[in-house]
Amino acid sequence: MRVAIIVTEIKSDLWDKSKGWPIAPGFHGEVKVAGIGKDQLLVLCQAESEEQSEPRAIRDSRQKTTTWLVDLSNSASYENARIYVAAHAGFVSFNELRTQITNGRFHAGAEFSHQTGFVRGLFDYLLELFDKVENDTFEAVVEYIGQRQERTYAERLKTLKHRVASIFLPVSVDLYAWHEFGFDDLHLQELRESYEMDDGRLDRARSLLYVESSAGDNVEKLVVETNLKDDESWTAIKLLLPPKSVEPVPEEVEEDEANGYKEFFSAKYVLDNLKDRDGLVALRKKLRVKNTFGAWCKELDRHLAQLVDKVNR
Amino acid sequence: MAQVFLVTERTDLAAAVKRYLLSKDRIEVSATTSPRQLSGTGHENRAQWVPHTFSKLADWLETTAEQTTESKFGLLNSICLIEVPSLSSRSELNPLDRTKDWSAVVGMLILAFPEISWGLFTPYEPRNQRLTHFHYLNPGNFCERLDYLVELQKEGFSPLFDPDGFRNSLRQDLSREDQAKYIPIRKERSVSIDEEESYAYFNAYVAYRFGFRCNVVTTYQMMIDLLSDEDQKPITLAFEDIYLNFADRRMSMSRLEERDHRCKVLPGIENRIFVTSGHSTTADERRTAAANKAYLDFLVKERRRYIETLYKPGSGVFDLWKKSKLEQRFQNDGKASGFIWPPKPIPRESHTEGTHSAPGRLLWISERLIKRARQIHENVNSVSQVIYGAALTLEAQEYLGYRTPTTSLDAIALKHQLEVLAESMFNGIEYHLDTKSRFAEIEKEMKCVGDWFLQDTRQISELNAEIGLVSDLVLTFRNYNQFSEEQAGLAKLRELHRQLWVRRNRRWSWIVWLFRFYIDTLLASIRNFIIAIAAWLLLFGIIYAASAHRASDSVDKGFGFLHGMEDSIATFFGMQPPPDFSDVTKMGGEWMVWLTLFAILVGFVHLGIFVSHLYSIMSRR
Repeated sequence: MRVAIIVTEIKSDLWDKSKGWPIAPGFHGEVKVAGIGKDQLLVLCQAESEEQSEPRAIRDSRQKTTTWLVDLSNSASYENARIYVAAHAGFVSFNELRTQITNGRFHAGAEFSHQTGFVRGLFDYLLELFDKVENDTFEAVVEYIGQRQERTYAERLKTLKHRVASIFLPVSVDLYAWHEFGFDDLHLQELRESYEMDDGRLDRARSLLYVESSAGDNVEKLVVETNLKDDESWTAIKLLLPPKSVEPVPEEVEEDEANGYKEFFSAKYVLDNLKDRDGLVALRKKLRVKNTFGAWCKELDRHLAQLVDKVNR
Repeated sequence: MAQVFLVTERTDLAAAVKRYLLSKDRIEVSATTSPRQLSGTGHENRAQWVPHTFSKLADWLETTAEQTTESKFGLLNSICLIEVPSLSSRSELNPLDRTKDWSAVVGMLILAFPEISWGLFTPYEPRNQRLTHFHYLNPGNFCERLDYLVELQKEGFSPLFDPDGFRNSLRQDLSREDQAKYIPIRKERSVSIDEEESYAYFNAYVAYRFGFRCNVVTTYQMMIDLLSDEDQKPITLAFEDIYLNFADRRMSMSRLEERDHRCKVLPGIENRIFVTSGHSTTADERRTAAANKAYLDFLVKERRRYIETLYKPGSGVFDLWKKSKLEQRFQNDGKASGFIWPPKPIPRESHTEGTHSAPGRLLWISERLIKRARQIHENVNSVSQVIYGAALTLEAQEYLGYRTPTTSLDAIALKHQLEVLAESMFNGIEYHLDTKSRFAEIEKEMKCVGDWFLQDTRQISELNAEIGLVSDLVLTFRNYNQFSEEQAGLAKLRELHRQLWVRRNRRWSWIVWLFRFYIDTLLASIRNFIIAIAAWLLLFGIIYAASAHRASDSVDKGFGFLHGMEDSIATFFGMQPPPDFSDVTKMGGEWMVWLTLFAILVGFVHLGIFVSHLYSIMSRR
């Protein structure tokens, strides 16, 4: 059984259209129900708040509405249902739904605004569904919610962390292999041929980390939105891989500052020396002592993982 | 050596992995870039993109494996690493989730290629440590996990029977969908241990068929790795050879007490079936056998374990399950608990919306599996390869749930053919196979498929399908000179043809039905034939005795019954009137002429059929 829960405003077309629907008994607030085969469509209004300031009122309303949705989804009537939620933008925390609806039954959630658009949006699909409650319109809404579902900050950060690490993974694999084969010349030759033209790995990683180099989703944006700008992990990340605009040059920085960037310089050294034979020979000497590149990758990954954990909390 | 496939967005990663595995293990990695992800949210695009991308990648896997290994079996036990960069929960791999694109394609591939060990290169890590270890790689553990997967393949690990429950977890997600609730789940684990690959695969297949996921163990290293770690989900069933002689053995595993001491999981297994040749030639073997017997008695009495010892050769899929008495032991219709198969039919008055046939994406997956199984069927040369094909058809059948009747029939037919082929090819299986259980199962399966046919033509469709299936099996029996099985198949075919004929000619079929039934029963076995001939002789003997040779008024005054029998035998076998025919007609009257003619006709028919039947048996045996 699937249940699509629509959270709307009290003064909205959706709420008006559901006027004649039966009311589900036993829930806090008014929840109207329409059945489509085994599936159900529920509609309710977002909670009201007595807070005076607008941001506080929204936060309060969001908290109450989210709690209602959790209670509703975990109630005996819907305890086995897969839950889809379409909510008025900003009034439901999908993150909480994901963690608090039991047995991982929260399938997808998407936000909408109460405006019809030139391009068909979720609200248009909802209007159609409320006009004609039947299988096809219900399927369209459920599908749309799934496609447009809000990925949580943690999920977005996890994906970014994966993408950053994947940029350096080929180098890690090659260095691991080189180490396995005792840093032999055959492998050295193969590395030279492969990395001769290799360039821009650090910049590619920066485009996933910093707003200044990014056209899409990036860690800095998420860090700012989740108030983790001053977090120690974020600070560490900025030292491990500084933004392009503030990238230090080893010869130009003070000793204290250079110490902070020590790991970044080692990683950069490895990447720069993969391109020619002399560089690789010099690199071999260093790598025999310690795989500084592996350690740098691990540190970067660890701090990104810590950010994910903090956002999750 | 294992094949390794890589599907990734990054060509540089593919190149690095290729270099690494080629240098390390001389493994050639075949790589392709994952197709561009969908942009936009048009569900029409997605609906088309997912199955087509699946097809493209499935084609690539199949052709690459075939080209690299120059055989149809290159995919078996290979490894495929596939990048799923935005996966955030396992449920996103659900092939029926129409809101997902790339992850749905990956889900389809995992289900369509059960013979591949799948390693997902993704940021997502499930809570289940075992699954994580086997199937999920991330940049932090990439090399370590890759090494682990390659090591496993070297030890002979086979993902075919879903030993770690990876496919099962996807099936669980699928079965939450209304349209795929019928998909069976395998909750219970089993293990099949034998140094002979054919036995290990055969026994594992039987366990899988009856609802258990199964680890195939053919090496010492794998046995130790798998069975010495007590911290794992319990195993319910084990098929074990007693005298294990692994190629990589470091110590004998033939003393069961020592084996159990070394493999701590084994004594905890509730049901242990030992399949052995029962060596007892040397004094050492006899000592081992005695010690094993004492230990097994201890396990039965003190630990309340269920132990059964079967001796090689066995006699096929059904027989293994029957003789081990597991059929009676498991409450769930003789299958593993929680394994519901065949699925319960949907009640006719069901009010569910939508179509009742198998979901289209599952149909594509099944067709892929069937296509590969068919190729295997045409190219097999070992028992484990046949079992591989049979496992593919079993998967296909389960994803269809009988709901798309024609494709389901393809899967069922191929499954039975491959199973019979395995039984016929396997030197470890005795000459006579259990055809009765197989025909009973086919009949049951046809009823399940029949539920999805039009009610008016259902019975005829079921019979037609069953005839097709049994005919194919008869051909397989004939090709492998399984004479008795072929005869049993032919008898079954005659029975089915008769039933079909009766259904098609309801109005007047009763006139000849009895005659056809009688002839079919005669042909079913020589014993039936002899009983029938004896019965006719007795009948004619009694009639002759009662009518023409009554002791009181017989011409020669001899003992009537014996005389009657003499006349009966002379008429039946000689196909001519009895020597004292004139006395017979004198005593019995005119109707005795008709009786004699009838006896000659019956004798002619019976002897004609009997001789030709006997000839066909003798010429084939």
